[in-house]
Amino acid sequence: MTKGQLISVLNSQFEDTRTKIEILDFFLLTTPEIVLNLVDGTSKSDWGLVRMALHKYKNRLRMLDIEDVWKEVERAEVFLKDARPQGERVHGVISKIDVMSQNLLIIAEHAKKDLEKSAS
Amino acid sequence: MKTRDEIFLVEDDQFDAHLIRKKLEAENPDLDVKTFYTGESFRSKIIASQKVPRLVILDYHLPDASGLELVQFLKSVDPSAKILVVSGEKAEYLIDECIGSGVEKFIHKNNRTLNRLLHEVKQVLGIEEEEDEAFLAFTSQDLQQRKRLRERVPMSVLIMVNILISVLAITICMYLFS
Repeated sequence: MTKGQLISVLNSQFEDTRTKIEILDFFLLTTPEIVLNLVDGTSKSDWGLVRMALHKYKNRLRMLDIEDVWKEVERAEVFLKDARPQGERVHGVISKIDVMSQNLLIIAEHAKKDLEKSAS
Repeated sequence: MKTRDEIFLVEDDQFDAHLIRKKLEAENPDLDVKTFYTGESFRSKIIASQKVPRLVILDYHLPDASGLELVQFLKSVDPSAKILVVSGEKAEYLIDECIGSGVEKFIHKNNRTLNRLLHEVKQVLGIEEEEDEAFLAFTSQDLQQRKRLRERVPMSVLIMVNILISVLAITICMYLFS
């Protein structure tokens, strides 16, 4: 997912620049909560928590047309399906999703700056 | 002055609610979408005003009520109430229950939901839409239905129709250039 792709997703769904910035703001505010859930899952090595966080992450993105992020989440879900509570696979998924969330946050921040520049 | 069409949106997920409201209002300025984050706040509003808006969009899973309970409540206030249910849930029995209770459409939450919802809202409110929008609102079910329909028409018939069109086009060209 690149900044350009994220902006083009938003452009395809919304016309008004203020609305797009508002959505990115909301996204930036709520996504850290999901990342924290994943970190929480890591410290407790709790499989249930990881699955919950992954589900929440998926729910957060489900109505945005972000194809490649979706594919990654689905792959992680399949990977997690047979994972054991303290297994290596769980931690693999956690770090993968964690990095993905952080990357998406950085991209969203840059996209917001670009949109703000074009709006002013 | 023309009054805006009032729509109530009952959705506990603020991000989803924000996306739906913005999408509907941005695409159609005549829509006024009021959001409720709990079943109780929505119920209280309906009881206080004793009227149902032109359309209600319900999330099926709310922290304090199920979509079905709210559908039944709305239908008891106004049997002609127009309701769309939006949910991440895919269980067929839930869809059957909702449709059986008088819901117009049950829409799955996915990356096509916003366009699909816009299409359905326009259908229910009788707002004209461009052909492109109607096509965007097709779901995979619609596409499967088209595929099934296509399969029913024998391939030989399609080939014959194509040949006839080609012959007709050649004849017209020959006539025009002779």
